[in-house]
Amino acid sequence: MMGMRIGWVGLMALALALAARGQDIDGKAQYEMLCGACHGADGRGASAEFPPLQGSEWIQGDPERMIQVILHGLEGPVTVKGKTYNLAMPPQGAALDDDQIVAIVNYVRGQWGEDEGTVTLDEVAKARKHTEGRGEMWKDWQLLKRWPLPSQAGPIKNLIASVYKGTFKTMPDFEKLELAAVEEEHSGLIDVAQAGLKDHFAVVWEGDLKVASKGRYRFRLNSDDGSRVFVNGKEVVRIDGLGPMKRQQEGAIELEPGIAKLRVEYFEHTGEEGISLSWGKGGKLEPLSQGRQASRRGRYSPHPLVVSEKARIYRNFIEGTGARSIGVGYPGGVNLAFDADELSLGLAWVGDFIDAGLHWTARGQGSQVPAGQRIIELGGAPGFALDEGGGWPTDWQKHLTHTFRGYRLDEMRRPTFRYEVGGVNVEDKPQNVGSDELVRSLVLQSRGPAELMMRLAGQGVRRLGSHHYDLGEGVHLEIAQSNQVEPILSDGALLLRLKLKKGENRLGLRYMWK
Amino acid sequence: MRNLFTAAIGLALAVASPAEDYYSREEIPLPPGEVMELGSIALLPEKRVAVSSRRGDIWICEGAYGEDLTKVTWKKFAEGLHEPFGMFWRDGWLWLTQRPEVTKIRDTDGDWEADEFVTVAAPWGINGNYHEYAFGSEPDQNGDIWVALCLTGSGSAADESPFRGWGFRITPKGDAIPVVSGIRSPGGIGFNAKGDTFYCDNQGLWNGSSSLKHMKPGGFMGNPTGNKYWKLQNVLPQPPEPANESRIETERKKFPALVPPAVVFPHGLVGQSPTAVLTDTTEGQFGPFAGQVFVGEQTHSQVQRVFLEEVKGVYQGAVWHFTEGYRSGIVPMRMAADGTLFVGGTNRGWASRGGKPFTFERTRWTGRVPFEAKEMRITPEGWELTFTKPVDANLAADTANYKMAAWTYVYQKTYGSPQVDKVTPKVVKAEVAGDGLSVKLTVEGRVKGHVHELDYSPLQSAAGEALWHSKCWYTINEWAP
Repeated sequence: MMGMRIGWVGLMALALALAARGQDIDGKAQYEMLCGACHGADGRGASAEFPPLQGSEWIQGDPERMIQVILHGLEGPVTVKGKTYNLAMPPQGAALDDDQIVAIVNYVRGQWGEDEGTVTLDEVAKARKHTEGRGEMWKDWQLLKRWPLPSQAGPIKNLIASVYKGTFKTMPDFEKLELAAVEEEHSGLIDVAQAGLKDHFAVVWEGDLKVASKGRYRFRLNSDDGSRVFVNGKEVVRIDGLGPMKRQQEGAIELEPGIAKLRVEYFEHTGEEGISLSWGKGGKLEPLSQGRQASRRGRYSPHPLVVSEKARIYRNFIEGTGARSIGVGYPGGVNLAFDADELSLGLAWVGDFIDAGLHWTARGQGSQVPAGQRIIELGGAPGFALDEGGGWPTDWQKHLTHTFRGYRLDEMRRPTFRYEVGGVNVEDKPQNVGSDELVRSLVLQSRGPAELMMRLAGQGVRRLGSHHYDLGEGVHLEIAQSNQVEPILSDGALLLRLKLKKGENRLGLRYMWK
Repeated sequence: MRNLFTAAIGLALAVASPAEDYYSREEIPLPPGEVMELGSIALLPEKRVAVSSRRGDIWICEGAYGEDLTKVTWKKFAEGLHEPFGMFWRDGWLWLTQRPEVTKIRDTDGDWEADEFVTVAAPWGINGNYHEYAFGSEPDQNGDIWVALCLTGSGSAADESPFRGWGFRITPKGDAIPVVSGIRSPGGIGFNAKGDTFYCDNQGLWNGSSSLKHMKPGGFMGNPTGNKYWKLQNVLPQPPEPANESRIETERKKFPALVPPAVVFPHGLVGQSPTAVLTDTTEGQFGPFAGQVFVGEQTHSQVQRVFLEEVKGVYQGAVWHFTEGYRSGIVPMRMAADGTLFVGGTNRGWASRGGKPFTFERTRWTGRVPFEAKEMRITPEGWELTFTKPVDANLAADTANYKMAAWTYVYQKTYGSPQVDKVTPKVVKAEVAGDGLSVKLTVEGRVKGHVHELDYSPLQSAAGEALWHSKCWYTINEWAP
């Protein structure tokens, strides 16, 4: 055994002596001799216990992270490409000279990195000096603190997405459109899902592509609906007009090494949407867009808000009511959205409450459709007005003060909405009765006698009796009779004339899903 | 011989200690099974801490200051709020800025579940666009909350959502006073030691690089997209319409209302998405940087340190890297009186170096002082650089040990800007103070309106310690008088 040991050390010395001229060292040979036993000659890890280097985020970005691992080793758990390994890599700093480290690092990064820069002898010497005297192996978190991993980004650098809204059947002139949103996309991949829109929009992506060598580069494009790709200002490939993702096109352009400016224009009319783009010089093309699976519309994990014993509140964008609406799901499966801008019931429905998945995924773009059925839309205009003749005002009348004051929850977490209109303080408490009724009790405190108009529904209302109406979807509304309320059906809209006395006034509204 | 010998020893010792020797970073366990993408942190009496999530939940914890963080307990206080970004405790209420309004919330029956939600003010519009964020401050010296409102989609200003891109001051009674215009995309808002309000604005349209901006009352922050709302109020005059493809320095001369970024954070070099703003008011509990400003950085999962000074009525100063390695993208931060820095994060929708979807962490000073440049104060000749410990006078007096570069950004309506108008200022004289705690630099070639990078990496402390961070970036808006 002793003989073996001496022999090995001797061999090492020989190898070092032969390699003394540094730049001439064969990185591949060094790697295979010194590292391949564990990490595999192909960089995939010799067995499942050893972390791969091929495609590993640890070899990317700042080279010092990798140099430090070589110098001082690494012990304890380490996560590579999403898998955790727990072995120790012994320190090699005393065994290898800087020339060898340069050769190995450049071989590994060149072979299996993501277009990493070349490391110089000077950088290795500096790295060695940084941690001179370190007597123990690195732990992964110590390394990551000082040399964090590069973010897992796609190939397009400085990618910016500009989103436009409008009805397009052909590619619009973007110069003439008003921008709806603009985002820096650190993912480095084109992803139509990030626009968060389903119909009637357009996107322009702009970014930089790193061209490693001169040559003719192919761009393969597919989209629903139209799209157009420019490289360095020249159109390379396009897909015209409306249609599904079955219209793949390819174009090519000569590129010089360096940065190529990429511009991708895209528009979506209605229905499905998607864009797929890849590029490359040889046979294998690299994706520049998020996989089709990921970019399919509505791909968010469902997150239904389940209402059990107590009511639940959901404040976010709900389709069919104003942006400043408050969703409430009551036990039994009656739901509503109160619009705090309009001070009115904006929506009501029965069945499931809402799926929060849309807003709790990615950036949470868009409005969510209620999860239940028989949805009635009651809003769309201010909830109160002064009778000035003419139609219902589309905006709040300037001289009618109106303020939303918030809500109080009772022991069942049911809100009482509080607001003030024209000096009248309103407490508005909706509650469910069973699974098909909603009773709204309003208490209106008036400083003196006052007359105020209240809007209960906007369209399509049918009269069933003196205080009994059909709101559509088979939903009936019964207004508690009193000499203080006078229902008025005007052009299909249901209004109430409120004749308020000084002090407390009460109003009862019963919505029934028949 | 002796000098050579000490120099060699110095060299051997010149190993910067890892950051954890100076500042700890510990993850605070969040309620199990909950997705807590933190948007706000509030400090409550009796060492309770409240956090709000982007999903709209508020939870309150006990034990976040404790030695044993496995003992942290959580209680859900509220749900169903709309992406709150900014929360604090006052007089028995949690006050928070959520997307549609400023709200105060309390529990009236003692079960630690909120039951009263009072809308304090809602002077701005929202239209259903996810990017119409509202960031709210803690109370200022008058008790008012400052709110910074993101543009629609961070690039436009919808007619139906008034005051996107504006800032408001909201009194405890709910009066809302417009204070600034010209905001693009804020990431956090807070105060400096003097009590003036600052927010971080992100690189994008009319923002060549991200920066810390002073919300000087009546000021224009630089992005004219939301200017059109000025007709809806009668407090501020019409904001300026700056020329496209210009420079901030050029437009400032035309429009006195234009407040230049106090400290530019060069894109990529310093960070990519600055967020929370706070001042270390602990008078030393958080280490040697008392009175300085700390900002969060979402993309790089870092905390950065800012020195601010007011020169001829305009703020300017320098930024340094500080702590890093947080587990997600940093958004809210709060510093407690005992020097505990609470840091929260999320990377949903915006990726970060820290790969976890969300995190709640705390950073404390270990009591060891890093060797670090502390302040960079402009002088008529250059700058005065102060240090946390005496410098090695020989190294610090050698002008070859300072390297500088300076540039600015195009002030334009398109997204971001390259570094332009590059120059190379030169340190021609370096005078070390007798106590070794400061160095006066005489610099040739400084440019007003430029951000100045100073690299002083060869410096060491008198005891031979290497610098923790060896670069900083100073923005000159005004010359020293």
